[in-house]
Parts: sequence; C-alpha cells; structure tokens
Amino acid sequence: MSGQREFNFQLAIDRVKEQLGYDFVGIALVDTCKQHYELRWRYVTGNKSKRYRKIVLQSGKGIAGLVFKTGKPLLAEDADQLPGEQDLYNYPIVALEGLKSFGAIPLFKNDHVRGVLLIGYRQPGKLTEAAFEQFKQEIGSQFGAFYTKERMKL
Amino acid sequence: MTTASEEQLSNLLKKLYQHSLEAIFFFDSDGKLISANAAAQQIIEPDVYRKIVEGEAKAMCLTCRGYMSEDEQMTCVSCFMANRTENISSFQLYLETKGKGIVPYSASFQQIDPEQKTVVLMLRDLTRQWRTQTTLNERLRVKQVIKAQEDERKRISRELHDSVAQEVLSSLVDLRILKYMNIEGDVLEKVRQTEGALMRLLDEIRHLSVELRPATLDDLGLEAAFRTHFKWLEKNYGLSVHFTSNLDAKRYEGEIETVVYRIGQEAVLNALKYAEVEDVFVTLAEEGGCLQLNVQDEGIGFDVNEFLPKGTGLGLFGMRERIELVEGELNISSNQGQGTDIQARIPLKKERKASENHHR
Repeated sequence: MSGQREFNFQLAIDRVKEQLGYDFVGIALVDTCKQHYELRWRYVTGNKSKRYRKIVLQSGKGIAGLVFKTGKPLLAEDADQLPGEQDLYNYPIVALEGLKSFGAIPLFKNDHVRGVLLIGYRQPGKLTEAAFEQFKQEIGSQFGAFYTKERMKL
Repeated sequence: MTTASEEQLSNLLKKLYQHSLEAIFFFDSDGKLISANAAAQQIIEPDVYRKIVEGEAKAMCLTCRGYMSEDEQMTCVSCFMANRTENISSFQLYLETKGKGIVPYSASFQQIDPEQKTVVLMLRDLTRQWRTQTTLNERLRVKQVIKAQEDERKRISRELHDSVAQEVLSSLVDLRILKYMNIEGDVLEKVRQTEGALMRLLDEIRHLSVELRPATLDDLGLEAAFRTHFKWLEKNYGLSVHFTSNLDAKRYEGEIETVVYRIGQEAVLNALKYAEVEDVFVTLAEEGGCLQLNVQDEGIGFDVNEFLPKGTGLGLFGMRERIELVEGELNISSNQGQGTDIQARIPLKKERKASENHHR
C-alpha cells in the first residue's frame, strides 16, 4: 500500500477537523496484511481516549462495519433520536467518544470499500444534512489513495 | 343451626353489615338501591353513589365495568342485574372505584326474598389475590420462556456451526484449489476477492453461532467460554475484562453452567452499556459447596432502591429469574458514583435431576 504511506492521513484529517470545525474525525481501514477482514480505527483526531485502539470491527458491526458493508454514507443528526438508541453501545466509537451528531462515508479502491471516514460533533443536531453534503463536497472525489463516490440508488 | 336468639342474630347481622370489609348492596325488584353499607359507599364515587340512591336508571352501570365470562375479561353480555332471578354464588366483577381505578372484585349475587324480589350483591376486594396470582403466573412463564429460548438458541447455534459453516468451508477449499489451476490475471484476482468474501461470510456465521450460544460452553466449560467471550468484548467494544478463576477447568451440570454464563454475560454487558468504564473485574470461584460469580466495576453505579432502568430493565429481572432456576441467590450492590458489584451464589448439590444435558 505505497499510496497510503505517501499520503499523510493524520495530517489530512487534522486539516478536515480544522477547516470544518468538527469535534472528532476518524478513519477506519481494513487490515490488509491479514487474511481476515478486520476494520480498525487507524487515524483519529479530537479523541477523548485511546480506547478506540482496542476495537476491531467486523463487517456489518459498528459505524465503520455498517458503512463498509453497505458502501453507503451514513448520517445521524441526533444520536439520541436514532431508532435503536438504546443499542448505541453497538456503535462503540460513538459511545466512547460521546458523539451526538455524526456522519460517515465509504472510501473506495478498485471498486471495493477499503475504509470509512467518520466525522462527528459532541452536541446533537450539529451535523445537518446540508452540512454533511458540504463535507462531501469539501472532501471531493479523491482522498489519498482512495476515491469517494455515491453508489447508484436503486 | 346454633342457638342464637332472634335478637342476637339480627344484632350480629347488623354488625356484619356495618363493619364488614365486604361491600354489600340491597336492591329491590326494580333494581333500585335499598341500602348499601359503609364499605360499599367507600368504594363508589360520591357522585355516582348519589345517582344510585336517587334511583336513576342504570346508575350502577356508571361504576360497573363488566364481569368476567368465559369469553371475555370484562363484559356486559347477559348482565347479572338484568337477569335477576338467577343466583350466582361467585363471579368476578370490575368496578371503577373511588381513587383506585378499576378494581377486580369477587362478587356474589343472590335473591334473599322471593316475595319482594330483593337481591343482595356482595363484593370482596380481589386486588391482593389478583396480584399474587399474576406475579406467580408471570414467574412461571418467564422461566418457561428462558428455557425455551436457551434450547432454541442451542439448536440454531449447532445448526449454523455444524452444517452451514461446514458447507461454506468446503466451498472455500474448492475455491482455493481453483487458485492453483492455471489461472492468472483478472480471473485470479476475482477468485482471490471471492475467497476473501467467503472467508468473511464464514467468520460471520461462526460469530453468529457463538453469539447465540457458545459451543465452548458445552464442550470446554465455563472458564473457556468466559475467556472467549471477554476477548470478543475487548475486540468489539474496547472493554478490558479482568478474569480470574480457581475452577481448574472443572465442569458442572449443564443448567448451572448456562445460568452462570448468562448472568456473567448480562452483568458485564450492563457494565459496558451503563457504567462508563474501561475495566471490569470478573471472578469465578468454588467455595464451600457453592459456585460464586462476582462481577465488579468502578463505574458510575446506580441507586439500587430507586432504580430507574436506562434500558428495558429486563436484564436485572432476567438475571434474577435465571438464578432462581438453580436455587441460587443474587446480590446486587451499587451506589451512585461508587461502582457496581454483582454476586451470584449457586449451591452445588450432587443429586439434582439433570434437566439439561450438554455433553453430546
């Protein structure tokens, strides 16, 4: 993954956080060296604890797992208003970073989801649909070795 | 009949009428109230009582919410008041009472004077008995539900592990053989991707199977099952569970192992969800003929007496129900800001009928 090494993700997310004023930005990447597909939060900024390092997500589990599996962006303007609000612990990064308003987009490579970019606020309602749209514009179609895109809506 | 004089008898009856806890109503042939005792006046709204006394038509219906028939809990079909010739020794009647809402009563309805067609309606408050009965029923049902759930989980878990996962595995092996069969370029890359997807699928099936019910519990026992589960928790939620045990891989009866495992699982899950901690301490020990499980955290805790559950509140309830299945005791101590300590003690009696058999 030479492309990944050349691109400074930490710097990139620091910049995103700075420019758009988020409380938290994180990137989850697939562990490619292993045969098993395991997602980890590799680069974060604005984090409250280092507990995120322990977390290894399976496909379909957690924010990253969900976005990874579906390849679709995910937006929660108010975490407490989510239908499964009581099961918020199923989104460990959201629970342990205390995010109240967040969104995530898939990062593609060779037409496969390889990573997930998460942004969030610790106050509810701050990441609106318009703000999320603006974020997607700001990121553009290229992010390091990855590109972002919208899957066709059926 | 004993030898009470006419006078004594009427005196006694009067006293009964005045001081009885049972509500007594006398009605004449037209359904008008002749008299009602103090207990009866107490349960009925003053407004409604006045209307009944004034003899307003169907005033009784203002307080009556129906009686229990074979078909319905509360019904007005073939009302006892309308069908006045029949004596009913006992039936259940619901009344809208003063300040207490709808209360069930055990009622009797009898004609005491065939000439005047006077009838008496007597009511006995059933709330207590009713509550006891409901609680008992609930308990029994919960136990059945727990058992049924556990059995069903076990079955599906086995099925997933033994047949579905095996099938996927053999397809995976076939695919790996394909990789060494003179293919290259795009085809090889696609095969690799498919292999990855299949492996993910296999992983997911295995996870599902373990989540439903760990085969480790049946095959290797409590310690192994707990260790696997805690490792999984650490991976998924970043929660560190510090587990110590002095069991030395000793095995217990299936039912006990299930109960201990599920209680431990639930307790740790609660800590994960609500305690806001990174570390949980679990100890498992056999002491004085008892199996002891202790789950401790140093989190935010909660007030045990004024407990308003954040979740469904079913978790703690379920833990109690489960421990009752094996005649153990559960101790939950917690204080706001001082962490939570959950202790389960299960007596290990030798001669207990084996109702659940793990070892296949």
